[in-house]
Amino acid sequence: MQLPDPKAAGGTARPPDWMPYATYLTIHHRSMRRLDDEGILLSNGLSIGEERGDRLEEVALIGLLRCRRDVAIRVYEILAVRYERGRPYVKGMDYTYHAWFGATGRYIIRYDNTHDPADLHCHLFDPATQEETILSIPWDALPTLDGFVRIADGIARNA
Amino acid sequence: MELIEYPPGLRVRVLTREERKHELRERLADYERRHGCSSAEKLASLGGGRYDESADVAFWMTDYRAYLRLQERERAMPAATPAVTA
Repeated sequence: MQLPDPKAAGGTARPPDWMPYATYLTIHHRSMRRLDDEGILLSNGLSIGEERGDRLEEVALIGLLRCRRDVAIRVYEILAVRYERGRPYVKGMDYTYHAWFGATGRYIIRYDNTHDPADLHCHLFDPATQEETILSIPWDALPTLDGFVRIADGIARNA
Repeated sequence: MELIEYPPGLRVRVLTREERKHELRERLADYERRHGCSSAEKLASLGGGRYDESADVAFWMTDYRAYLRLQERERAMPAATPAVTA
């Protein structure tokens, strides 16, 4: 099985490392709305969790997406926070994107860096046999969330 | 505290460090009970070229690393203690 090309899948380009938190929220919101407009996203159960002390300390994007073709996607993304000139900037740190068929529970594809923050890998599944191929991947091969949704949608279309 | 303009319709939960720690601990306890080992033991068992962890373990370890980072922040920036007055 081949690693999906995140660029070929379309969707938002992966932004540079650190970006203003407000920009991250806008990009995320727009990309989810685009998936909704295109009929790919059926329900969006994602929420942003902000841990705050005196100021923003860490951000988590967490929840479940329901998509067409019976695709379910569980998301857990954690963003590191730093401050520049008094504004919070964020950078993706931990990624757990998992897609499966809702009715059967059969896995489609997973991206995560479970073992080590620097060690990203992709689990590809044969939708029919559930045979799993695990590939260690570079960070530039990680799709954005909407890119991941499009990859899962494409695999489901051909399954 | 900085003012953040949230896009309309975006669900945002704001947690104090203490609240997040409580949530993470509850979830970790549930994972540990279901898998029959501690989070530290599970993390130590991964890696070394083995990437065949279950989906559940992937979410578990994300929670566990978030919990470890939170503990580091606590050590680096302890929560303010209310002043004691005579």
